[in-house]
Amino acid sequence: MSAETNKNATITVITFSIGHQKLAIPATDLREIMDPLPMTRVPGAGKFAPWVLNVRGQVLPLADLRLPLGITDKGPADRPEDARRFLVLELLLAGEPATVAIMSDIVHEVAMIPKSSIEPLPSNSMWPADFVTGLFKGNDESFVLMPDLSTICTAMAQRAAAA
Amino acid sequence: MSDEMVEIFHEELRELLESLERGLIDLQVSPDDEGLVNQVFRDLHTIKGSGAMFGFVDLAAFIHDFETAFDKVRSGQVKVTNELIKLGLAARDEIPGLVEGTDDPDGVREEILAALTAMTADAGDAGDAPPAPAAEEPLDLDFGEPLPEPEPETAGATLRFTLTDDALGLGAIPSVVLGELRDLGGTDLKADISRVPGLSDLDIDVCYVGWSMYFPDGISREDIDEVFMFAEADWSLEEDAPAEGGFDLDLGELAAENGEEQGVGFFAPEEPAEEPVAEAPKAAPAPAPAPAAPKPPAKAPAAKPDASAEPAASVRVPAARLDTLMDSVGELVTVEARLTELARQSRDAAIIATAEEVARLAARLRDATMTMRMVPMRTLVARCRRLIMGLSDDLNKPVEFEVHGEETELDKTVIEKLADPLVHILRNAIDHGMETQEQRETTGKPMIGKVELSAVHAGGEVLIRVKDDGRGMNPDVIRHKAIERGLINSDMVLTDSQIFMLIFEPGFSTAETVTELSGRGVGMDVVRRTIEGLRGNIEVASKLGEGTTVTLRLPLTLAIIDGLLIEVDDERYTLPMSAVKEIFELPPEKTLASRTGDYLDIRGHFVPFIRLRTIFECTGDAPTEQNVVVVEAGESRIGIVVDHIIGTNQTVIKQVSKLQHSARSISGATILGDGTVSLIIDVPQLLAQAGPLVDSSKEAAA
Repeated sequence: MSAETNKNATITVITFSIGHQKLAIPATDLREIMDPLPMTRVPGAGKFAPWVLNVRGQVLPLADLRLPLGITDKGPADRPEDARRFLVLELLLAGEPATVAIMSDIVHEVAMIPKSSIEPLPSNSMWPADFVTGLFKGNDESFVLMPDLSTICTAMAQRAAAA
Repeated sequence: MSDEMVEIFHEELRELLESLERGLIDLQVSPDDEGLVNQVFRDLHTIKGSGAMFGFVDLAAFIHDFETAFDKVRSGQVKVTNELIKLGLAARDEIPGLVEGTDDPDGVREEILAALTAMTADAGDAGDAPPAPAAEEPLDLDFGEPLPEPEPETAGATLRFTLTDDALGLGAIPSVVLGELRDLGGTDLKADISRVPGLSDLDIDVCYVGWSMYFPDGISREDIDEVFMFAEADWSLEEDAPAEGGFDLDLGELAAENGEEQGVGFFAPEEPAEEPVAEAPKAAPAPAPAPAAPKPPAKAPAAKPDASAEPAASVRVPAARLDTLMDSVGELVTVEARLTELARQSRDAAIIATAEEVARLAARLRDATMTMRMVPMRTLVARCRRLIMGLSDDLNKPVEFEVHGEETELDKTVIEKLADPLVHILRNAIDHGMETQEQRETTGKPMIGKVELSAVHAGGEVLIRVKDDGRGMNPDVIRHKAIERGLINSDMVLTDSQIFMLIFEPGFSTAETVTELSGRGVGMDVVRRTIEGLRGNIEVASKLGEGTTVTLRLPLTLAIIDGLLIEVDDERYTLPMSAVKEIFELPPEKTLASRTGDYLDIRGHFVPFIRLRTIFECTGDAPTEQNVVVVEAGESRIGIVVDHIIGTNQTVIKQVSKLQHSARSISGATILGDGTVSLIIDVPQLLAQAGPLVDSSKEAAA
């Protein structure tokens, strides 16, 4: 089908927001999107992944990208509280496959974007260069950031081990 | 050949090598134990057999010679000496290399074999026992190459054989076998097709055809053995003249190998009644021998050599399958907790009764599964003994090695991961800890040093202790070195035990000169990391001039524990039940934190306590009535103040992510009956985190 033929030209992503910032991750990394679940605080786990969740019998860490991406704002005031979702992702943590949940304030859509539209991070950008693979212009003209989740999590795990 | 088969072979090989090593080492202690000699011989034989089956030609040839040497021990021609054991062990060590196909550029293998041969040759000339004269010959032979009979037998013989059912599947080629037999002088080949079934029952992987062949000049058992080394077969040999001196080999290999223990005679005259066919004229390509062959007479317990070495009652299961089972049991326990919870809410007596039934079954299943994974320490001990033997020889430090609690069982995974650290600790004990003989003499110690390895169960933990009576560690030297290496600041105040723990820091080595043995392999920091990775910890005690004791504390199992569910500020945590000693209410006067440290008076003993609320930075207010759970970790007892005790539960341990490794006082997580997650508290780590309190607790407890 078209997905097959366009495989090299486009990439399917999920777009979501944390605060005002729009983010996108490849759909292949996403296992599922969940309504908020009961969270269990992990004392001493640090600010990046301070909770665990029970996702169908699996205990998963719940991480917050605000810290590594430096997002501090709460987002638009009119965003409904119940729009929050947890994204369950499959990624590489220090080279090993791991499942991690991340928080998002709202999930927007599944989109096919041409790979050619993805640009590298400008050198003077405010974003930590290691943590972002690139960005593209979304349909509402805002910039959508593509975080490098494996790198972020690996860096955060190293920090946790050293703490 | 399927991967599965190869895997089984490797697994089996590993076990056999372990058994062989153990046998050799035990033999050194009791050289006259015939059972041990037989065990060694059997192990060798099985390795050879299955090695050949899997096409490891070099291995089979190597072991063949090795085996020959031990055959002489078995027949009493050669005495067991330390030298022989050492050579045996050295030869054993070559086996993995042979299987991997590594080269032997220095000719070590040749040397070992030559030494073995030399050691056993001079004693072996008596030769009146039937297997002996022939057994000597293959020593100089290249394996697998049929050789002309050096001493043609006077009488002709008829050989009958059928390949075993799985021989073709394992790569045997009948034409090759027949060709080799022909080269040995076989003539008058006849096929026996009596076993070939109808088309509908035909299994294409089975060789149904048997053969018989006449050797006018006779043939030796060893030659036939060599032919069938690569093609497992049931075979029988009939001599033309069943006079005295000829020996009946109708049981094939098995009778020959196990003859002495089984009490099967080698001489024909005893047996004719049992197997009339064996006495029949040679030319008979009769149907009888062939069908008889796969089913040897009752005196032989089993048809295959490796089967005879294996107790029939045990089943070999790949560890991965046990892991899968364990996972399922874990899920079952979680679901069971949920069911119990729901049943309680329903207040329906029938459902509650059923839930209880399920709970009981789940618990039983859990215990059974865990037991399956338990392996005694013994499997490790042989390796340790071996190491000690080698080290004490190489370094010329005679050492007596005492082992206590070999039967202590631990989870298989724990045992596997424990091997390297334990070896390293033992190596250190002898290499660095033990003085030289001269030094011992001047300090008035017994010339022979002592290293003790002990394993005991203590609650839900196993304590493994390595104790030596060597020179002990000097805290000042270690401290100085640590400062030199930049591991600590020169103004740091450390207790002796803290200083000893510095040897486990990366980049620390107390070895003044790196010896061949201590210089390689894992460092002490890896030892600590491995032990901590197993949720265990290490303690070191040492007294200068008297010796060092290293204690490893390891959890019994990694998968499921009994837990005590507690609540603090509406958060529920699980304490491992094994650590919990007692529970009582917090006396009202202790509700507020005191500056001088909190102590409880428990039956006249001062027990310090910590508040989980404070440590876990809970925000809410403490309830008026709180409870204290007294836990034990290491040598110290300490009270943990919690809000409520909820109850006990079966705790399936789920690992926490690496992302949360900074939460040191949490060792894992578990899912409760209502689906929420409860974190499992790592008691020793929690106490370590509570820091100064714990140190003072040790003094207070003392």
